[in-house]
Amino acid sequence: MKASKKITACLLLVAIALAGCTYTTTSSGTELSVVPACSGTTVNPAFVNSIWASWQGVSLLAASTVFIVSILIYTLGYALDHQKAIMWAKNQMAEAIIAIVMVIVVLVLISSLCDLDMKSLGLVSSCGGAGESSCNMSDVAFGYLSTMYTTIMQGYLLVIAMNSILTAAASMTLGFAPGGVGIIIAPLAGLAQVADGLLLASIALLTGAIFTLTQMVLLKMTASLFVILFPIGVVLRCFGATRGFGGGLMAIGIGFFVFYPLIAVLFYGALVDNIQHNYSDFSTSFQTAGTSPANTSWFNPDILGFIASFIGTVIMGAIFIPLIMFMILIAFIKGLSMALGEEVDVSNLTRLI
Amino acid sequence: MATPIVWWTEPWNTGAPVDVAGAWNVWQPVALIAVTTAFLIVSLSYMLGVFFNLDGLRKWAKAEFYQACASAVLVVFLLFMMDVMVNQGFQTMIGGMNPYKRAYAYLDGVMESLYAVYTNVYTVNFPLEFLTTFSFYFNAAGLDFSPFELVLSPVVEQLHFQAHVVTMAAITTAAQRALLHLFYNVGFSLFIPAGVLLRIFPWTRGAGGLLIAIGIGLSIVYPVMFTYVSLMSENPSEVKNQANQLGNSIGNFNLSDYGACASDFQTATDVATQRVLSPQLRNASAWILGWLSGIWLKIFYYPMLVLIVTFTFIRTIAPLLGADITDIGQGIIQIL
Repeated sequence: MKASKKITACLLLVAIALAGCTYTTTSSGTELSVVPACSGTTVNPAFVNSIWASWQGVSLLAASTVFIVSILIYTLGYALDHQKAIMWAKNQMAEAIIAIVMVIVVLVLISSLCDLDMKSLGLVSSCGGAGESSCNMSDVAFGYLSTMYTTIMQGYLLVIAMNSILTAAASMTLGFAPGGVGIIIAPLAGLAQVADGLLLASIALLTGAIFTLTQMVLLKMTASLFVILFPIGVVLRCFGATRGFGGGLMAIGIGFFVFYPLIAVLFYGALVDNIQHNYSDFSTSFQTAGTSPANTSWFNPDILGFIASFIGTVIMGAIFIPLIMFMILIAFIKGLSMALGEEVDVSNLTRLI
Repeated sequence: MATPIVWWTEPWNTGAPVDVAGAWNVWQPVALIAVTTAFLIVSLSYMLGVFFNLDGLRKWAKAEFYQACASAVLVVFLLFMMDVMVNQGFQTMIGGMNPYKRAYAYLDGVMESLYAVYTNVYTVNFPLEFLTTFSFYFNAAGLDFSPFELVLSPVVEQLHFQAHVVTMAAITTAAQRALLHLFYNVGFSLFIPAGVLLRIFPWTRGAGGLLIAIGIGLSIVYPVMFTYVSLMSENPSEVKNQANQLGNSIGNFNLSDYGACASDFQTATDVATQRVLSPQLRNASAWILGWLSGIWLKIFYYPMLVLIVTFTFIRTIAPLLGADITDIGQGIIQIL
């Protein structure tokens, strides 16, 4: 990799790491303050009035500077009859105009996205569930993930509870030793086999829960990622030397803020019902079996079937599907970055997968 | 598109039938409007390019015109393909077999086999593990002696290992079934139409092309490959019969059969050893171990083959649909 690409990659990572990480001190300590772009069904005033208002001036100043410099270069090129300078100046002026147009288009897009009702697209039947303050894309995606996380954790707690009961039953011993001589037996030791299976299940569920929670955090962070990366990208895109990098930042910001919630809605909207249905079967099977290991339902192979169906769906939804989603997201960022300036080095982003 | 939906109302689908045609009735006009918009943008760009004498814009508009044409063709092609799919034309092409039906039958058959093995392993393990814990206690000598542990522990450990493998295999199979079920339900009604819509615009062409490729790959190639894999596999009922043989080998369990009522330790151990190492139990257990090696073929190797073919298809077709996934392809390989 070239040194310039390495520097670009490092800057990109630093920008992502720092984006939105503004800390505020409260009476109870220090907490992370995230300023999302949307607030309910409207554009967040904090985004418009504070962050974007500040950056708007900087962006316009940068674009104006580029214009002035380009005019000077154009004048000099014309005076000295230097065709390359004239062409360069024309190109820079066109790029400055494109940058401003892009800003307007993206701001209109954000405004539309904030009040875009997912119900109107037919992608959801109802809103206002867990974690959903409105029916916009980001909130609906968060609601789906939140529902999935809750379901996984309910399953996890159930598995842990049953594992504890079975392990306790398996370790129970009975002794009969009159006069100090006798026998000791563990009549339910065979239940350890089922307990082992439940332990395996709990590990899989916890892994799935962590992956889902990570996505929930990422979804919340994308809002703050966008409000920082996008203005920086606009400013950097104004100058020829940093145009590619700026375009890349804009593409990453838009990709995570706009496209990631969209594909989350598509995938998890189609999956959450199935996971809840499988959890319902799974919990019902435990209720049928009861807490008594002597219940013959524990010998029913359907118990393994319900556990496997639930955990299999969780593994597919929480681990496999995010990989597919990130591939599609990276394809989007790659395509958009090409249009905005310079193609992002996807080989670095694919390491996210 | 007004044809009855056949695939989606088969009895094995316990959920509500998927109204593919209904979903496409929503997506179809949206996709057509998007195609028209793309043509409009291309035309305007070309006009501006001519008016301002911008050669680059004209070239871009020409290239986008071809892409808009490709999108229009793709929309028509997918509509035609949907018609073929819902009318069972595709089933006819692959020998009258419904790929989804075969794929579900394969995975459900594997699951049933696994449950049978698990239940019978559990049935055998329960008394053996109980005997393993059986110990004599002499308080005066401070002695705690487990006569059966030496003989039975290896058998019990082996049965635990079998149950562990079966559990993992069941979870893996269930994950594959869930993937199949997801794309069975929404592949044609959601992912492919959304991909078509995204593919129309140049900025989202890569993502749209990849979404279509994944949609076609996992909705068509994935179940079709399972159809061929299922033809290579044995009858699942044979697995259940053999597993039941293991369970029956220890049927009518009686402690006295294992030497619990013997007058001395030597006799007890001899009886237990003879019983545990009886030809029936050994044969059935050996068969289970053999089947566990075979299970890797059914649960891991064949499905891996199916996934490799599916993802190879996705990698091949995605560039044709406008997605440059040269780098992302590494991610696909990493998933495998």
